[in-house]
Formats: sequence, structure tokens, C-alpha cells
Amino acid sequence: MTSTDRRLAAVALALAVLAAPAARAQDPVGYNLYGAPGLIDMPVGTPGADADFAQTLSYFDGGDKITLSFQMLPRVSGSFRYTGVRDLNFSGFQDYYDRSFDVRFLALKESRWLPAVTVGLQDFAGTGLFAGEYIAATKTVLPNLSLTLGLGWGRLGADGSDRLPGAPTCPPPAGAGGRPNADSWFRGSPAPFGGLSWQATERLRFKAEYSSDTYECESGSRGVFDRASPVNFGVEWRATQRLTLGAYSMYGNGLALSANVILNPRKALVPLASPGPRAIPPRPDRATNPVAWGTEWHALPTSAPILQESLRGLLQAEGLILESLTVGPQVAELRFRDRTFDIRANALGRAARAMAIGLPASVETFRLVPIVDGMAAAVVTVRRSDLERLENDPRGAEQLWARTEVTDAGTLPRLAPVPGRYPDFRWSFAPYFRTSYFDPSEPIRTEAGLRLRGEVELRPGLVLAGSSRLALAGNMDDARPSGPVLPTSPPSVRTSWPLYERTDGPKIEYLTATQFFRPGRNLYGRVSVGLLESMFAGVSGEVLWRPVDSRLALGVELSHVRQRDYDMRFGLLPYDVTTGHVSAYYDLGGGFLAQVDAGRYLGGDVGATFALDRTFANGWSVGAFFSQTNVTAAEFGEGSFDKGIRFSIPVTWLNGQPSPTRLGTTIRPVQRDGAARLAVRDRLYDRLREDDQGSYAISWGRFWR
Amino acid sequence: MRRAVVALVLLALAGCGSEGAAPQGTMFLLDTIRQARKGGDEPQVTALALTRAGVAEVDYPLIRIRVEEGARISLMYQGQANARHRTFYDIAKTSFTFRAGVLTATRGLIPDLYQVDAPQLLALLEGSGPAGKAQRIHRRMDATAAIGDEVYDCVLQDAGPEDIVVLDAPAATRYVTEDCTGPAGSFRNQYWQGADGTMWLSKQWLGEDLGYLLVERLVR
Repeated sequence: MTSTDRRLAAVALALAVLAAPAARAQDPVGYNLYGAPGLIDMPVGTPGADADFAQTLSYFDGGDKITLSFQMLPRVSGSFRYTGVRDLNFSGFQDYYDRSFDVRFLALKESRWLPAVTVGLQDFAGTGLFAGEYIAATKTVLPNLSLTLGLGWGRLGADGSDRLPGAPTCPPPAGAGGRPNADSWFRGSPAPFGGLSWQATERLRFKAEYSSDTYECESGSRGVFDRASPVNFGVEWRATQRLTLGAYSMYGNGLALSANVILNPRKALVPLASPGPRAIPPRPDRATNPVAWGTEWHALPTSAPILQESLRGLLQAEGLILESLTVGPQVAELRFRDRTFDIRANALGRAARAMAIGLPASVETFRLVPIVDGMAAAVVTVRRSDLERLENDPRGAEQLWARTEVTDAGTLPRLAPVPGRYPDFRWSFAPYFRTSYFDPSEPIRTEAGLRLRGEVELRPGLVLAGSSRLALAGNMDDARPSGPVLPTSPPSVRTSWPLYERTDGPKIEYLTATQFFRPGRNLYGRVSVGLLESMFAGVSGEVLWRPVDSRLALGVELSHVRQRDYDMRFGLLPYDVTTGHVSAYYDLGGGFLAQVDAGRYLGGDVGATFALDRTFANGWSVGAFFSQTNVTAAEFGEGSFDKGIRFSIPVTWLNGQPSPTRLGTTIRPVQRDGAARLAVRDRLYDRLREDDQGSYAISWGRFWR
Repeated sequence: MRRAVVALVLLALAGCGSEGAAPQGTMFLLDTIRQARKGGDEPQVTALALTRAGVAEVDYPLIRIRVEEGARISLMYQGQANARHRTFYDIAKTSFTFRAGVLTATRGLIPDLYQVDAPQLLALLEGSGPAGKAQRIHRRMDATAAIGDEVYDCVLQDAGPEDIVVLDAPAATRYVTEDCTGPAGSFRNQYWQGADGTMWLSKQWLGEDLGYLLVERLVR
């Protein structure tokens, strides 16, 4: 995901929130200043709705916070938070910035007599400044009134942050941070907290709480904030369906403000608004009109080009591109490329309709082959009589899926593409925005400029691609490289990124020649050479084993790369490395995708990256990852080991227009040199993710859309 | 160009048809539809007053629909017949599919009604089933392509003959009502069916977002 994508995602989300219409009715208790389901500063026992993706921005003297929370499962949620405390004068910084992760588990669902009970770990792997654990119980006692009682430890306990034996007053040292502080969880003396939330009207909610957070660090000698009372109260206003604004009186001596936005993959910001498809034309009755079912046409030399031209036009009208058409008396195979739809099943449905409209009546079997980067991604076989019979069936989606075959396309013969199809040239010239986060001296850095991109596919699968940008404004070039912390640390393969920001003039982001190919049954291949990414150039090869009907896929990638010169043109630096991974991808079901990549990273360190993503048929995904390599925590530096979260949001979900484009980003609390992976484009599993049986199965309703 | 035409059409329709219960006096664009049926590239826009005389020369099935919320009014021509289903299109390629005059699916509407399953109602209107208790299922697809069912318990009633007027033309019909209740609310659908099965007029529930759909059959 590029920085432009990141920025676009942010802008799109902001616009989306502003544009969102009216309020929806009853909701859970809402989110607190920590961006977790909660009251004001305290958590609650009720979870968010499944798959809710909440962003909370809060302002308070005791710490400004921006938090992303995701309800991964109905019972499990997690958060990533960036906190800034003005004038904390801690750890060498006047204004202190901190990144933290939470995880929460709903131990008991609310029932008629019993409350919802959640066990939570706040800041469980950070520097410990905000570390606290809790058990919270929430019961809806009246339709619009809920009560919460809880017990907190650590930050939320009686000892504040001072629970570790031998720890200084404030806050406890946790080394470089970033590791789970399991030995301190639920330790020390607990303290009670509680409060109530009253949904007064559809839009208005009042909250009051007794907080167990003593703000020991902030209100002591550091004088950031003076805690005069344990009681907080406030009001929240649901401005739109997705946006809630809050204002609170804090600890008898302060004011807090919050803005909370909840997105959910299932509820598009703008519903799909594309034109409907053309209906399937039923063929004439064979008994009364046998001539229409004749196959004499097949012997005519003019038939094939006429049918090909007809299908080319029919597909073009749907935004699809014809690669080739092979028509026999009863069977036709259509290879096509989809650059229009957000969900492949939609493209398959439109292509099948085009075949039903454009092919002679005798052709009963349609073999649809989506082409991805020149590779045949799958063979989807449907029967024309099923299309005719099931198009208007109330259970047509399920019934057609039961009769659809999805098979591997690896052994299909090569076919000449339709005349004029190649070379296929595309280009764009557009403004871009890039961002960089979490530099203590400048939490958010930005850059704006112009970007020229071009791509030409000379023949199926052989792609020349390049991208160049010219920065016009911004402060990215002020950043300083942090570099290795120990002589034994990995070389500066990523921490040197600020050096790449310093040169003026156009920079080449990538310039590559890539050949995609199908080496055999269930196998896919890629070889890329050139300026592979902004910091490395070389050659990279990958083979993926991925049966279309398997939950498991395995890949091998091997690259030899050399560090690019800081001006991001054609020069190279002395450092080179052979890097590569074996990867396993497993579809756990329910939209969960697990991935393990084990191998050698750019810094020469050896280890593995583990990732878990929750994905949705429309392209939404939210996930987290971490890596363990032979680099020690001390050698790694701040954060102790590589980890982060990532998400992607389909453009269709944002604007209702069909598009395969997805916006998103990967957020690492700290980018160090350990476990740094080559950022080569077009990794095969991601490119082919839409074209397997599992992906079709969960989205087959769109075949008829 | 086509978008501009559509915008003009909608503008003309909205300007004239957004008030009052019945869409009388609506301007419409028969020539545009005629061109769209033929697959013409750039239809010529000719606004005509909607009168019985105005549709006298139309030789293809034509309906006029009105969506309650948003006051959308469209003329739709029949594009495809498949067994007992008939699919009608407007020039924006929005389609409505009917069986026996009962709406079974929409495509391109915001939000769509993905499929309707109302077997007892269809049996009644097709002459093979009685009035009385019935079930109706509205199938909807969410943004992740998951299909969910809204199940309604309904009561069908054949209220007997009723003479109506559709675009200045009288029609002898039988009046059928369908009262439904379900988790997503309650509604009453109404059908005025001719003796030959033609659904001359109907009012059918689309959902909370769009309210009712009013369908007039202008040309058989």
C-alpha cells in the first residue's frame, strides 16, 4: 500500500464521515477516551458490534489520544493507540508520545439477569505508561440505561503505575517497550470503578463515572494535570449515523472532547449504485425450433471472428476486456480481464450474461477464465440452461453455486489474444500525498507532490512498470535517520529512510520488468527485475502453489537486492543481500486468513513473520502481524521486535461505484531494521486472492448483480 | 452524453412529478426509450406529455413506476421475458423484474431488493392457489455480498372486482391485498389484476429506505 493510498484513505474516510446521513437508533454504550468500548475514561463490559472498526480522537490535558479499535470477533477486540501528553517531561522528551496496544475478551454475554463481563488488557505491550488490566461488568437495567462496575489493576488500580517492585515513582521502566508485560498483569492492588450511561434520546447520551485512574504520573510533581476528584461526567451527541461527538468534565478540574467514528464492512458508506445487468435471454424452444439449435455455424470460417467481435463489444459494455474466445458447438471458453468490479463474482456474472447473449443456442457449457496479470487464475464452468433457469429463482445464488465448477487453469493451452489487445498501455499523472507517523519530534510528517505512473503489458504476463514522483511541499525531508542502536544490530535497511527524503528533484519509486507465468498445475510464478522498491533494486522471483479448491497455499520467494542510492534514481550503494521467504497462507474460515513467512530479511536476520487478518468478500480486511528473528530486543532497539496492524478498505464501499481499488495502510509503532522485508510489488497470493473457490463461495450472490 | 440525457430526464420528471399522490401530467421521453430498445447510440430527447394518445403508437410493453421515497418516476420498457418473468428497464439501466405483476427483483436501485420469494401470492394471482395466510421473503445483499432474508407473515385477500383508470383508460380488475408483518416492519401491498392476468396497477413495498413502489401498466 503506497503512502498516497494511505493519505487517500484518510481523506476518503474523513469525507465519508462528514457526508454520512441521519442517526441510527440504539447502540452499545459507546467508546471512551481510550477509544475502547467504555464510559469516559473507564471501560465497560459490553463489546462493540461484530466487525466494527472504530476510530477515536480525544483531547484531554491528561493525554490526547488517537485510537483504532477493531471488533475482531463477537467476543474479541483490539486497539492500537497513539497518545501524546503535553509537558510530561519524560524519557527525554518534553511532550511525550506513546504507542500502545489493547486486547479485550468478552467473558460473559449479557443475558436477562447477568451482565456482560469483559476482561481487558490495556497497553499490554508498550512502555507501560498506560498499562492497566480490568474486569468490567455492564448490565442494561432499563432500555436506555446501563450500569457498569469494574475492578482495575495497574494504571486502573490502587497503585497506579507504581506496582512493579523497585519501580521508580513514575512511570515504570519497561526497557525498549513493545513486549507483553505478562509478569505485571493483574498484579498489585486492585481498585473499583463504575458508572452509568443513559441514552436520553436517539442522538443524546449522558455518562457519569467514578474513575480508578489516579493520574499519578501526570498530576504529581510533573504538574501536567491536577486530579481534584475521581468523578467524571459528560454528554455525547450522535451527529451522524457513524460519528459521535463528546464533551466531558474530567476529574473536577478539566475538560475533555472526543470524536468517534464507527465503520463496519457490512454497511457501505454509499450502497452499490452501478447499473443493473442485462437479463439472460432464454434460447428458443428446441422442440419447436430445432434450426436455431443447429451447429452448422461452427464449420463456417467466419463464425469465430464474428462471435469474438460480438463478445468483445458485449464485455466492453460491462467494463471487461476480452483476452480470447474459443467456441465449439457445445462448449465455449472465454478468457477475460476484469479491471472494473470490486468482487470477481460480479464480473463472472456479467461475462456469463454476455456469453448467453452473444453465443449460438447450441453452446451449453460456458468456461469463464479470469486472467490476472496474464495468468489464468481459475476456470469457472457454468451451464447455460442453469443460468436461464435460475436467474429469477429466489435461491438462484445458492443453487447456481451448487452447480458451478471451479477448477485449476494451469494446464490450459496458450491462446493467441484477440487482435489489437497487446501491447496494453496504461498511465496516470496525478497529485499525491505521503505521510509518516510517530517521529517523537514531529508525530505526523506529510508531503505533497506529483506522480507519474505508467505500465505496459507487452504480451500476456510481461509487464514493464514505473512510477516517479516529484515532491512539491512538505516536511518529510526534516526527518533524521535513527540508525542501528548496537554494532551487532542489522544494517540500516529501513531506518535510513529519511536519507531518501532529502534529495530534491524527481525520484523513481519503482521501475521494473515483471514476467508472470503458470509453471504448471496449481502453480503460479513471477520474476521481477529492476528498481523493485524505493530502497532496493535487484531481481526477485516467486513461485506459489495454490489449488483453487484448497484453503492452504504455499509460496517461495527469493531475491538478490542491492540498496539504492539516496537520490532514488539509478545509483546503488554497496550493501547487498540475498533475501527470501517460504510462506504459508491458510484460510481458517469465517474470513480469517493466517499467514506465516519464514526466511531471511533485508538486514540479513533470519526468522518469521506471523499475521492474522480478518477479511471480507468486498475487500475489507483488518489484521495484525509480528515478527521474531535472531535479532535480540536490544539489537532491535525501540519496540523490541517488529509488529504492526494493517487494514484495507475497498473504494466501492466508500463511493458505491464498482472498482477493484482498495485503500489502506500498514501501521508499525516503530520501523526498525530487524525483520524488514523487501517491499516488492505484485506478490502472487494477494494478486490471486479473489480467484479461488472460497472467495467465490462467500460472494456468489454478486454473480446475479 | 448518456449521463446528461439521464440527468435531463430525471430533472424533467422530478420537476413535474414530485408532488401529489398520482404521477399525472408527468413528462416522459418515449423517443429516448424507443432508441434505447433499439440500442441506438445517442438517443434524441423529445419530451412528450404523458397521455393515452401519446402512448397509442407504442407497440411494446411499457410501465410507469414511482418510488415513494425520493419521488423517482421512470418509464420502463420490457427488455426480456424469461419463462414467466418479465424484466423492465429504464434508460439508466435500472431494472425491475416481475412475475404475474409481482416484483421479484431490482437491479441498480439503491438499495436493491435482491430477490423476493412469495409463492402463495404468485399462486393466487396465477390462479392456482387460494387467499389466506402466506409467507413472503425479501432477500437483501449487504456490502460484503452476504445475502440475508427478511421473513414476513402475510395475509392475502381477494377483495373482488374493482374498476380503475390507468392513464385515462378504464380497466376492469380484481383487487388483491397482501398484509405483511415481520421484523423489519409491516406493510400492505395492493394489486389490481385484469381478467387476462395483466397487472394494471400495483403498490408494492420495497423496504424502509424506499417505501412503496407504484407500478402502472401503460401498454400491455
